Amino acid sequence: MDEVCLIRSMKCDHNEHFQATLGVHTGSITFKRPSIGSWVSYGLGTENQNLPSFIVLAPYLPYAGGQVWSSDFLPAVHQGVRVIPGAEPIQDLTRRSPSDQIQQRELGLLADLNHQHLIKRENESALAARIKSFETAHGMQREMPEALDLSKESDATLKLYGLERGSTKGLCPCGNRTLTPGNSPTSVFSTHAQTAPISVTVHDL
Amino acid sequence: MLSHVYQMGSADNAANAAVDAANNYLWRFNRRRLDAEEIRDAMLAVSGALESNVDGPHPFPPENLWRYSQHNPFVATYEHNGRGVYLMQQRIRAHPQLSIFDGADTNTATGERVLSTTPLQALFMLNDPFAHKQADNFAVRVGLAFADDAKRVDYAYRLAFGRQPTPAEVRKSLE
Repeated sequence: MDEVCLIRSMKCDHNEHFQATLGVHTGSITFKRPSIGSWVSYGLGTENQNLPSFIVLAPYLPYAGGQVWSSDFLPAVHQGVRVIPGAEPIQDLTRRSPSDQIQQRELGLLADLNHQHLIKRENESALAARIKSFETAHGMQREMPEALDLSKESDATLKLYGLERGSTKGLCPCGNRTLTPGNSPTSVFSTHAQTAPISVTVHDL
Repeated sequence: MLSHVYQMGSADNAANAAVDAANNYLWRFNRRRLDAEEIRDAMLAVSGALESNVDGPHPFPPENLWRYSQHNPFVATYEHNGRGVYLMQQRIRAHPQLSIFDGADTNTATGERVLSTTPLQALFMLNDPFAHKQADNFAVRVGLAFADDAKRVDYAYRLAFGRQPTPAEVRKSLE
């Protein structure tokens, strides 16, 4: 070391990765608080009801785990939906019924039973919301794979993000795709886990 | 629990709703959401897979193999078919299934759980292997109990809802 610049004005609240990760996402280094993405989702809502309003791009679980995209005391609909590379980018997104027709019949029977129940309880908004959540889930199951499919991107776009065709290493283009107008969750987080520094990207603000 | 008020159903009544929509005077039972553990337990109970005797420690790795650090934390999920209250809970990471259904924050005291209705909950019920396994168990349980489809429907309703199906429900189920 020939030249050293010593900064004595630097200060911090905590010097550990775990607390720093929690702090940068939630504003609290001790207990979890609603993630910034949850606040954005809570404040701005979402236009496309078939896609979640807060997407987390986290190939690896970061320090402090899922607490960093938790909605905490905000309704859980605002909690981050973690997208991971691979065949099933969102937990339970893949249809497990043997065929689409069978699942349609299952959902049809379920909707019918729920509506029969709702008729006698017209003022139950929670029940109506539950019925709606199954429609949204079915919409996600249909639309999310397409939103996350990078194979139709041009070579120029893939190059822009430093991606190789067929590779699932990078995820950021998915974020941009789901953020295109009219198809827009409100925020995307990119958390690099154990080794790389945390990078936080909040688009659309 | 023996009172008339406690034993009422949750069905609506237009005249009462017009006067007291919030049910402050308890003219019906308030619908109550099952907690995360209760949802899991209820699925296991209905499918017949619930084990009442779960004892012994969780299968933690032996201490001489621990190499945990802040950068390599201990993270595990130990599944069993006992009640959800006996699941291993971690402070660093909420149990994946319980967290979907508003499970308690494992970092702090939770006086009252928030209630949320999310598409991830619906996706769990639609596609999660746990949900499908319990559905399969339920189908086998009902199928083995009776040879006659109408009796199977009746049995399934009594197991799942604690009541007999209406004639319309029997008809629809048989379709």
